[in-house]
Amino acid sequence: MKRPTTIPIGPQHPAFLEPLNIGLELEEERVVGATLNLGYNHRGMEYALALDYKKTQYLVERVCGICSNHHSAAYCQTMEDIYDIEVPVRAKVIRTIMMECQRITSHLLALGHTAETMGYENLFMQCFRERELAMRLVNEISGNRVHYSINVIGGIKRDMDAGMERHTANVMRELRPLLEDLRDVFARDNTLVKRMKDVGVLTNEQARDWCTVGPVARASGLPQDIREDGFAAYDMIDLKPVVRDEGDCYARTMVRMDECLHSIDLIEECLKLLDEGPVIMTVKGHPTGEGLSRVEAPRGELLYHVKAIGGLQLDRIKIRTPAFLNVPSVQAMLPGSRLADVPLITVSVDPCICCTDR
Amino acid sequence: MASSEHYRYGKIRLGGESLNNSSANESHKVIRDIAVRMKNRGVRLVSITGRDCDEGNIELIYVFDEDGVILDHRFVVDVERELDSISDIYSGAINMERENIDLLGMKFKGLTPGLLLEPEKSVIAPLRKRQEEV
Repeated sequence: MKRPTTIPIGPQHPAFLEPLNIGLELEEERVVGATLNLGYNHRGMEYALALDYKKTQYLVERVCGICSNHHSAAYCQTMEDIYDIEVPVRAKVIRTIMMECQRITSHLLALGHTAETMGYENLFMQCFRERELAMRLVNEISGNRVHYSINVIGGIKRDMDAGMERHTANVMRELRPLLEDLRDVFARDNTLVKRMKDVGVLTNEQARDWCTVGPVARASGLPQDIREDGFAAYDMIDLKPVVRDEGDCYARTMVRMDECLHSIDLIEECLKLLDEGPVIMTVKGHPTGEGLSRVEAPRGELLYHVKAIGGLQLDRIKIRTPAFLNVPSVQAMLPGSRLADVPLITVSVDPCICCTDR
Repeated sequence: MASSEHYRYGKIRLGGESLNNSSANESHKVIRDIAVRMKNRGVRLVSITGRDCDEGNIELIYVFDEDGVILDHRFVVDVERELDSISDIYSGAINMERENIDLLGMKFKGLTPGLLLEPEKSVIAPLRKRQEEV
């Protein structure tokens, strides 16, 4: 019997944007086992975030640069739960618009990264060109490109005027045909389809076993989307979760692509819901109690669990990011695949190591 | 151990009262039965959160999701006790438990530290309350 060869992939590897190590066991070109090593990006965020709950609403965005707005939205929702306050409707709608804009930017980054990993540089550039429209839009709405800092406990701190609402609608109109073109390429390009179909399959049962969330779970036939919970303004708009059942790299890519287009629908619906009204309500006193809240970040369910004890310091703040569950599931996807497909399979889960390690 | 069920979207309240007595370590043994029951019902494991509640005790909260319903099961356990792992029932639990090993100094059967921190070199159990914080 042949002894498998063990080789390390990462933590520094051209295919990975962040440090991640996979110990691969190979029999010739075929992967027979994989072990994931994390922690290269651990920054002790949960300790730092508990020090001052007022500063946390800004610091929490630094957990991750790709889904920063979802982190602050989830944190603010949790604190609002503890304060037992209802955020004004207009603030909820604007939060939803910002979350969907960020879903578009995040998914286009993941799609571009997937294209680059397959050696399709031109498609990578096309993804980032279209993404720039959404990046500029969030910059115009919030004043920031990455860490929007628009969410505060009780609402949002920057309103949209009528001109900005019209501009947002125009950007969505401009973006839709561009993303439809992009979808055609991902769905029909022969080389891309052959590289992704039946590669890195995560079965429905494995997806449940590894507790996967978001596009990774939905691409394996699990119809779970936390937006159906109706947080922010999601109970006021017509959400249609994108679910596929192939479980391979192609399905994960197409779920993200279709979610980008659906995000445009949701943003357009939200714009119609923007009535005059306040965008923030004041909260008094330090929080006391326990709260749990979750949002559907681009990579899936993002959960915040906070215990507050009536001072600036929090007793505990727990962040369960989607990548923390999705990234380890590559250990189930890799066995049986070819060595050449390892970077693609890993990238197909949209591995955010900042979120995973915190 | 105590548990609660909630179904209030966007605002989920966790109301499980924790036991804090000498039988608390014993009560944690039911977690494997709970996990098997949950897995068979197709319930998703969401998180395992540890919280230092002083005097060497950790409150361990297992959060599950059954079709959008949040279920929480809570235990107060002695940090020095080696606890049953549910990582053979839910593969996704491995890192949830190992995270508690690294950040709170807990022990789970068959699992090693070193997920987020480097054993022997990193700070020990950074989320445990230091004397000045108690």
